[in-house]
Amino acid sequence: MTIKDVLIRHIQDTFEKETWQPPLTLALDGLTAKQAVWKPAPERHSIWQIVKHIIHWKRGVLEAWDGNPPDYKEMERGDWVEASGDDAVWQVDVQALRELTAKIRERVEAADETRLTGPLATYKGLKNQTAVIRLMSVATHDIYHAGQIRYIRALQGV
Amino acid sequence: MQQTLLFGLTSTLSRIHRSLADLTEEEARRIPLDGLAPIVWQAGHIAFIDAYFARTVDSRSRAPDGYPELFRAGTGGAANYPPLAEVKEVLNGGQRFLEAIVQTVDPATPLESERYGNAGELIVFLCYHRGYHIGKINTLRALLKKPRLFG
Repeated sequence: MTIKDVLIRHIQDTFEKETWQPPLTLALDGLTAKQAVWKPAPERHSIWQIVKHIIHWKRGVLEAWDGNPPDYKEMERGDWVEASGDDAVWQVDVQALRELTAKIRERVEAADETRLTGPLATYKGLKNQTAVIRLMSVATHDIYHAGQIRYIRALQGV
Repeated sequence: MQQTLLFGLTSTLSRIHRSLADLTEEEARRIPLDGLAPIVWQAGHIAFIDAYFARTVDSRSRAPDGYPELFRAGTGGAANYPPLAEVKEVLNGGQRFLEAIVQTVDPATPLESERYGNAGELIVFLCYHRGYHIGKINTLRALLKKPRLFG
């Protein structure tokens, strides 16, 4: 068993493969734009905002992996944007999330052990992280939000 | 490998504790809507599942008496839950047990389970199981109007 095996298993189980609890894609399954934009309270985030938030940080991970680490403060400033639109626009974001995750997985599959256990410059000017630890965190971030989304759905009765 | 698995365990446990740290017993037991399990259940469920599945590696792993009835999947309504402080201690005990497994058991050791094939995958499974319930705890925190902690 290798680090890569562990990582790919973690990415699969948190994003798309149904095991004990629903992964992120299943937590989003069947939602309409109207349901995705619903908030439990005005100051809370909607499911759609959560999806945009995950896309935002996954893009940052991909940029870092490809040698262009983003600026952390800029990332924070661009986080948690409002989201609205019709079902077609909602599906564009869901698809963007799927495509980004597939790209991250492709990079992991193509990487060797040295790359995965080596340092990754995650953000400009900040301390490096081991690539495998960064990617484990990204996958755990997915399942964390899957749990949130399940309860936001439950609050709507969907 | 060991470092990666330990990171998964320690980072999820620290988030659980951060999510529980500022809650009163009443808040931990509050059910904001039928069908949602309270925060004390989420924490007890994690502790129970950690202990339950660790038994596939080491049969000495055991959740406290009463935990299966209170915290197995499918439970979660109003019940006579233990104090949050006790649940936190059970979580810490389970963590020590799991860390010992990571430090002493080859992650490639095969295990018979539908959910994982070896000891390393067991730890990965328990980490994302924790992550899922940390998400639920934080939605419940929002409903209790507690400060937002994570993304």
